Amino acid sequence: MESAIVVLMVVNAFEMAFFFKIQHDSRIYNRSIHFPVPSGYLLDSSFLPASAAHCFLLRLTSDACPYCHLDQPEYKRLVAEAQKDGCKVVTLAAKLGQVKPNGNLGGIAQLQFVDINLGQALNPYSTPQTILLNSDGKIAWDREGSIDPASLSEALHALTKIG
Amino acid sequence: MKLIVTALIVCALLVSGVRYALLIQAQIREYREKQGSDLAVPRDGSLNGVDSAGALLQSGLSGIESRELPGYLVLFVLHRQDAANEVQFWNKVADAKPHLESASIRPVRFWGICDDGANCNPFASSAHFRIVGYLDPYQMHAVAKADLRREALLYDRRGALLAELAQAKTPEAETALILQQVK
Repeated sequence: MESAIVVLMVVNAFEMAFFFKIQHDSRIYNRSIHFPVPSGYLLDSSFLPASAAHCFLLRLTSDACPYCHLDQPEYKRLVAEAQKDGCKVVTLAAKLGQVKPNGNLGGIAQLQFVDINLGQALNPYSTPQTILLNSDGKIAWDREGSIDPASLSEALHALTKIG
Repeated sequence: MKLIVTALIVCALLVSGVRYALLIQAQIREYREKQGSDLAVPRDGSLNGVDSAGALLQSGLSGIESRELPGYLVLFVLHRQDAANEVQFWNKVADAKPHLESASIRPVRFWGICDDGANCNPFASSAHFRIVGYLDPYQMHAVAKADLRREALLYDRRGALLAELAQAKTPEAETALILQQVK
């Protein structure tokens, strides 16, 4: 009986390790990828130059996506903290027309047309996505789907780690 | 008593093992879907961009705007490092437009997507096609994926992906590949 327990414990440990490995591999972004500094044309047709910042907060969103509206309190809190820390905040719509131009975004850039480097790095197939990048374009934190309170505290922790 | 405790431990471990097996099965499905979407170019296009002159381009293929006649659109990547040669290559393909258009009875347009934003703009004056530095993220992701396989993308008049065209060795062969799809 004891040996059965040992075998089952080993099987469980193996399954757990494999599960976390494949869960990690299924993430939308591999943590080793580097994003370029976000630049391109905004929804108002002005050009956003690739200027350096302490960090970047990217949000892929759509007006028609219900989950993009669900987490507004958490997202707004993250934006406020990120801006306080000197991050550049950029929203993107995967396709033209998915987000209406908003002139009153409090310093948030509404990027619509991107170059091939940003286009390659960004996975445009699901909304919302929120990505916190450090100044080198390395992912400090990312979230596919609405930001819940637990992921907000992870994001804020990542923000403090960026310094 | 000891036997009961042992049996309970075995049951708990069995339940946990089965639970993890089910979780792994679902996660493998998700992983495969992600792998599939990482490789495949989506069938629909979002053919909007900004060209070398900073003008907003809306292809008119997707019904957003009908400034241009419905037709075919070929998207390919212009690599700045080798842009002079690539412009020459695609100029020859673009010069075959009358031939392609008489075969397809629809306009055929070409967009060369710069792999370095606006830095291919100096080639705009010598190119017989539009040089585009910026696209919708959705479309730019598709173009980047195709470029990894050295492919151009051909969209039909509804803005749907008609074909992924392999990079041919000669402009004549590339033209023949396009002709095969549009006639």
